[in-house]
Amino acid sequence: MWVTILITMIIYLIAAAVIGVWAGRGRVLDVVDYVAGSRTLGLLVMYFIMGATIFSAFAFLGGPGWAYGKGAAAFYILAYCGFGLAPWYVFGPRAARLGRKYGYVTQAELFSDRYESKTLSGIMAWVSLTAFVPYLTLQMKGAGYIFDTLTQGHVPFWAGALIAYGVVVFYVFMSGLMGVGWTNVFQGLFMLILAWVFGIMLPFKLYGGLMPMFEKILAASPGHLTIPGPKGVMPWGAYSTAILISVIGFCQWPHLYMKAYTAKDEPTLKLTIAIYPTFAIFMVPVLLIGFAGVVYAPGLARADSVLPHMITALKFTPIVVGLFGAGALAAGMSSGDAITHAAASVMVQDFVKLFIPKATDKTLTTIMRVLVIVVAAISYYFAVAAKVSLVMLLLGAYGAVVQFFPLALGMHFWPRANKQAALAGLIVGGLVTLFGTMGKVPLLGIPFGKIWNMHPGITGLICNFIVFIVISLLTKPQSPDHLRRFIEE
Amino acid sequence: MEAEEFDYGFKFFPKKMSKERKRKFTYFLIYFIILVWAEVWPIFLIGNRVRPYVLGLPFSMFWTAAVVMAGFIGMLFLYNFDVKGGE
Repeated sequence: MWVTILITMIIYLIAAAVIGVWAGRGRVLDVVDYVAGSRTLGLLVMYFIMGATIFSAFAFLGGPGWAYGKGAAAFYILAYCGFGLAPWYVFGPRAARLGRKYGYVTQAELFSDRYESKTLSGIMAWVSLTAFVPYLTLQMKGAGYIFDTLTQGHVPFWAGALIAYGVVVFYVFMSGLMGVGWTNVFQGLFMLILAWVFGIMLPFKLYGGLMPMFEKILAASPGHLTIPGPKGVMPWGAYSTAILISVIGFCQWPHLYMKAYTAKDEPTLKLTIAIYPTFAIFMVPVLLIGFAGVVYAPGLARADSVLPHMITALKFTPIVVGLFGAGALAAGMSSGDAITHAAASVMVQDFVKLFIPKATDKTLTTIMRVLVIVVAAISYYFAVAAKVSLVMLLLGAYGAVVQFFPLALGMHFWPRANKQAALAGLIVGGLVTLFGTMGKVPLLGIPFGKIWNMHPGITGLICNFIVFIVISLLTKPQSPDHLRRFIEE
Repeated sequence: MEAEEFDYGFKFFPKKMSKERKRKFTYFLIYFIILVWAEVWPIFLIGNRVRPYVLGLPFSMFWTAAVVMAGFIGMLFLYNFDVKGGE
């Protein structure tokens, strides 16, 4: 039985690898192509690349896990999928226009040019990396769980993560962005179909409909379907700021900037953003899967495993189980490939390049490809060795990235904003977020509590804004000639 | 000399954009801010209930999804106004 499941999943992995390598055939691998697909992407690929940034292992495993364990708190996922990309309508096209004009392929290139600071570029590269690694770790853990659960332990956690990410590293190494793009189209379609089939089927098969299912949930766990969730697990302050931090933080992910540079023209980029909320609607069936588990499989030790658990417990034919496993793998891998690719690109363009300014395009591309392997290896180490909850990792990463937000606003809308303010705001905001997440100031041991259960990233952001504005006004502005390059007529 | 001529104030819109267009973009911004607000405290307090069920979903879940749909429709209008229509 588990052999058939495994074979189905392997066939999916081979298909992904073939598509990934096929996408990169006959292309000249210079930096602009490896990182930004030579700025030629159309609507279909753009849509799924953007979609993959949300439809990750988190959505496929964490989403049902939240619906199962935290009930209504899981609606936050719908809200942030729906509105997460909306602010990007403001930033994306502007970043893309400047990218075309001055040749940027990463976020930090744009920021460090506007604020005339190489230090900023280095800091952003490292902040991005510290956000990327947990994110990638998350995806790998997802792949490991899926293999482990569905093959009943015959393919252990460590081997599952290794196999899935071996494939990812292979096609990202070979094809760069084009490999990421076309595998994302394949993976995206695949998992959307599966999510709808399972999401609609489970409530009807197990409970005879949606409303009967929710009524049974209420009987078993009162308060499950409204905020603050079962046993008040998610207070209003936490719920509200979790949505806000996700909506604000989402549009500052470094790989989103990189994807803006890949669009072939501005209408394509704008239309991608406009139709993006459809991905939130695709999350509805995914949450239904988690809700279906509340009464059917109570008391699971790990909420994240509710989806694989249900699929195994329901005794579907092995091929169906295998297909489901492949869909969940696809969700994780399509985000994982984009992150691996972005991490390697950012480290080279924004950090390594500072030390070897005269390196040729070919050398840089080669270093990027090597770093793809290094980044994956580091994340793999964390995935296998560390014991941290999936969602906590993700929220932690958002908290760090969101600190770029004031800098982005200043860059496009406030010429007075300058280098000193950008650096100070970023550092203060980052530290406040970090202390808030840890609950104390390290070394000194001073407790650092939350106000109204707010997400530490929001507290950091408020401090960041204050510092950013005050320092800008206190220090000398940048030269008008430089600033004019960034102002639109 | 030049520094005195340069305006360091906020620049939310490109200089050449018409007043009408600026106004419409501002309306869109307000619309989206209200929608995001409807997903969190305190506007979501109104939608945060189980009954009535809509399309088989508890009202809280339907509310969240419906507001997202309103956002989607808004985005389509925004795109249409920004790229296709207007000037």
